Amino acid sequence: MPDQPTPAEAARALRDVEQRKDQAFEAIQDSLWVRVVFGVAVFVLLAVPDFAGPDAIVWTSWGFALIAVGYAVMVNTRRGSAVLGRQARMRQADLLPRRFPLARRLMLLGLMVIGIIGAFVPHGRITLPYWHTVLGAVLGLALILFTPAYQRALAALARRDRNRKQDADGSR
Amino acid sequence: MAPADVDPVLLDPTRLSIVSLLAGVTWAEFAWVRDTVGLSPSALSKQISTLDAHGYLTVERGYVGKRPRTWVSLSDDGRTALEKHIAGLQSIVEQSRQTAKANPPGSGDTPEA
Repeated sequence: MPDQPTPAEAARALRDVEQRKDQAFEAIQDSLWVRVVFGVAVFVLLAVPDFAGPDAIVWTSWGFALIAVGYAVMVNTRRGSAVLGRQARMRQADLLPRRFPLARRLMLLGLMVIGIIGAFVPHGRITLPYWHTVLGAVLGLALILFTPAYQRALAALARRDRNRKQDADGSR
Repeated sequence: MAPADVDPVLLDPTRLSIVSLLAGVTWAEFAWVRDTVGLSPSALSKQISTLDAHGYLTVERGYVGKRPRTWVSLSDDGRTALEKHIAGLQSIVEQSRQTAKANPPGSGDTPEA
């Protein structure tokens, strides 16, 4: 092999480098069982007050927190990630969009606040029976079914952000 | 024309693919790299050994349950080498563009070798 690639070979190699870097974004996919565990946990967390009274939510909240912390610890270790079905770990610097628009951040924050208020603040006027259970079932199912699409959307956003930054730097 | 600063180890397209893939991850399992790059286990092992010998990768072996696993990650030296190599490739492409611009087709000038 010659010491210097031809311009055509260099251009092809640069395209390959970009393509391979993009493939790294496909690594962020959880196994189905992980989504099922989280979906069921959300369902139980929300449904328990309908059957065991509002005091039970203290215990279910602890249970959910334990699952979430366990997941966070596992996803940061090689062996834990392997158990979760993740074969690679994305670099955080590439994963977090640098220019995530403020409007989207506020929208996400607003949705979280509404969700928390809706789930935990008692509503005296609402008489819909088992509405916590219904909400839990909807959210749990959404988590199981739509998490891959959400992860893909986040990966696409991060990939677009990285490419835009490289274009701005002139490194692409 | 000054020679571009390309890394001889990364001139091999397969090794460049592996290093580029690992540049986007903190670590990756051997099986994921094998499937993504599309190599046989023995071919990937050989390339990983070469990259490891040059200090471009770190390799960690362990078990998950009873199953053996191998994790690979790009070392700091490997990341630096990849960045330099990419810069070298870009410089080759850029020099070619400038030569083409300076000697457009039909101008009668012979481009430099």
